[in-house]
This record gives sequence, structure tokens and C-alpha cells, in this order.
Amino acid sequence: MRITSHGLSVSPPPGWDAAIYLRPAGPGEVTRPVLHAATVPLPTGRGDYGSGLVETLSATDVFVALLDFGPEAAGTALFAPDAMPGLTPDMYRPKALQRIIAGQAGVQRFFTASGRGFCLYSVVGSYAARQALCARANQVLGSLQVAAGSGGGG
Amino acid sequence: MVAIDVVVLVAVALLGFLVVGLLRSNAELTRALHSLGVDLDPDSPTGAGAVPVAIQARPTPARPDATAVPDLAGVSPSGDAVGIAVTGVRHDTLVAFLTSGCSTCRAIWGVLEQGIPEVPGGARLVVVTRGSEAESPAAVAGLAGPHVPVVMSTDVWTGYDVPYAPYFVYVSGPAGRVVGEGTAATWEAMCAMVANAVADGTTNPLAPPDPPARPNIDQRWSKAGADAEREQRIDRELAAAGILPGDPRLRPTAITHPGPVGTGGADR
Repeated sequence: MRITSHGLSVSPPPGWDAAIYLRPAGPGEVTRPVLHAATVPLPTGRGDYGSGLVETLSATDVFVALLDFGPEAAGTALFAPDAMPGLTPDMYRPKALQRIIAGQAGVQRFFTASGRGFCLYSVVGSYAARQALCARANQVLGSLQVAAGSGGGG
Repeated sequence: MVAIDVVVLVAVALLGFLVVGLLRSNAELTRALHSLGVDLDPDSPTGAGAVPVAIQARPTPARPDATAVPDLAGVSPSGDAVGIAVTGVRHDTLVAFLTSGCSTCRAIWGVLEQGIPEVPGGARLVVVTRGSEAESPAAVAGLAGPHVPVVMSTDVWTGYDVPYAPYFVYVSGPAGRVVGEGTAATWEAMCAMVANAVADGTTNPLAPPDPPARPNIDQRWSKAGADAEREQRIDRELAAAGILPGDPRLRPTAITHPGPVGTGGADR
């Protein structure tokens, strides 16, 4: 299956849930598209960085988030890489998590694609099994397509 | 006078045959329904008005094989893209096909609006409606509430060959197939229907639910477990040799052939 919205498109492998959403903007607020993909069900009410979801990851599960920071961020120092990085197992660190969870590991990278700044964040359920789980994350990223234009709301 | 008596007798006899025939037909219908598991007794727990149809996978033109189970890809009522896998996963999924217009669906919507109801077998509940060309997203959002994921997609509706609404399809994720489907007018009737399928063992529990993540890799994934064990053994041996993480000897700039043991070869 392939899902497309807000200038993002992804074909998650079999067994993956995926969503591309845009939070409703409050007064004076600008929201940007977020893509989530995981080997576990995506719960309603989860955070952009997977809070409420990463707690459910088992040792064989993977979570991938792609957060759009808009054209303003594109090309700035933090977002200097001009292509989405492929993930390698050694990028995953037990402390690179929004909230440390024993056994898990995460990775965060920033880049620019199609004139939009992005943050890529991924969590694997088992640091020990990061080799295999990283390959699964790359399966999702390999199917990702980004169109120009932010699609931000607000 | 005699002629009138004869006519009356004949009429009574004919009416008698008619009544006997009707009673016999009724008895046959009751027996047939009973054999299908339908209880028409108004005092029964389910009641005669909410009789679920026995849940069984049915071959359909669009889905002739029980393993032809499309994933649920579409949009949410708020317009976001959603893709939900129902096969190749460790859990079962109960897909509820509903419409915003059918009066029978109202009772189901009412339950979903309260929260996530309990589903026999612990299956994940997902609602599917037709796409926005056939359903009002605002109406669906108002009916569904915030608790249960909703996928709006006419393609999914067509792919499952849904005959009417409400309609329920129970998919075993580990087995990757539909194990039962049918209709029910109330949530309780649907639960009874699904419970039968679960009790029959049709939901293939090939993989038990995963335990929470632990520092040590779980034993269920033997290959990764073997990798972790090997990794730990190598770490122990290196540490015993005085080689710790970050040691430059782990990343030699050149590879030389080792000398004989005990000669102090420069290969470490």
C-alpha cells in the first residue's frame, strides 16, 4: 500500500502501520506535516516523536518519524545535508531517545529535501538487535518521496 | 341443504389442510434456524431481535481466497493519510464496515463513541467507511469519536466485497487470513459472533504477544538472540584481552599477518 498526503508519500512494507498527518493549528500557530511508520499499531493521541507508541515497542519493533520543519529551515546549518541519510546500525544510540527506555535505541538526523527541512527520528525496540531492525527502518525510508512545498497548516 | 353442508365440510377440510401445512412449514423453518445456531426464544439472552449471523469466511468475487486480505489504506475523517496493516502483524484485527446513514449502524457508532470497546480475542478494532465521495467526513468524525481509528476508503470497501453495513471482518494477523465475517445489529451480538470464532481456535496464535522491550534480547527471535549472544561473547573476550570499546586496535589502519603465538606479533 502507498499513502500520500501533504507532499509526503510512503509505501510501508507488509506489517507496518503508517500515517501522514497535520495537527490542527492554534491561533498564530503553524503546524507542519508529520509522517509516522511503525511495526506496531499507531495509537491515537501519540506524540510527534512517538510518545505513547515507543513504550509499546517490543525487541523486534521499529518506529520511524519524519517531521517537516518547513522551507524556512531548509538549507540552514542544522539542516545542511541535502538528502535524507540512510541509517546505519551504529547511528542508533541508547541515549539518543526522547525518553530513555531500557533496551531501546534511537537516532535523530536533520536534512533538507525538495526545499523542505526535515528531522528524521527512529527508535528500535532492541539495541542488541539494531543491525536487523535498522534494515527494516531503511525499507520504509527507501520508499519515501518528498514533493516540493511544505503543506503546512495555520 | 345437503349441498350446503357438503360445501362447508369441504371448506373446513381444505382449511384444515392449510393450517397443518403452515404449522409443518413453521416447524421446519424453526428447526433449520435452530440448526444454524439462531435462537428465536424472546427470553434468550441475546433476544430474538439481535440474532447474529454465524461468522465464517465467505468466498467472494473480489476476495475468493481467505488469504487475499488487503491492508487498510485511506484517509482519516480529518483528511490525514492512514495505512493500517492487518496481515504480517502479531495481533488480530476486527474491521467494522459502517456507514453514517444506516440506522442499524447507529447502535455500533454509539458504542465506539464511548471509547474502545473490548473485542473478543483482544483484536484491534478499526472502522472502515466508504471514501469521501460517498461519505461525509464530518459526519463520520462526529459519529466515530476520537478513540477508534477510522479509515475512509471505497477501495478497501470494494476490496473486502462488503455486501451491506454493518459488516464485520475478523482477520488473524499471524495467519494472514480472514477467519470470519458477518453482520450483527448490536455490539453485544457482534461480540458473541466473534467469540465463537475465537473459541473455535480459528485465530491462529502463531506468535504470542511480544513481551515489553528488555535489555536482553528476547528468546523468541532466535536469530537476533544468537547474534546478541555472539556479540556479548566477543565483547567479553576482547575485554579479557584488555581491548575495550574505542580501543584504536579495533580499527587498524593496516592489516598484517599474525606471528606465531608467543613471539609478540604486531597484529593485535
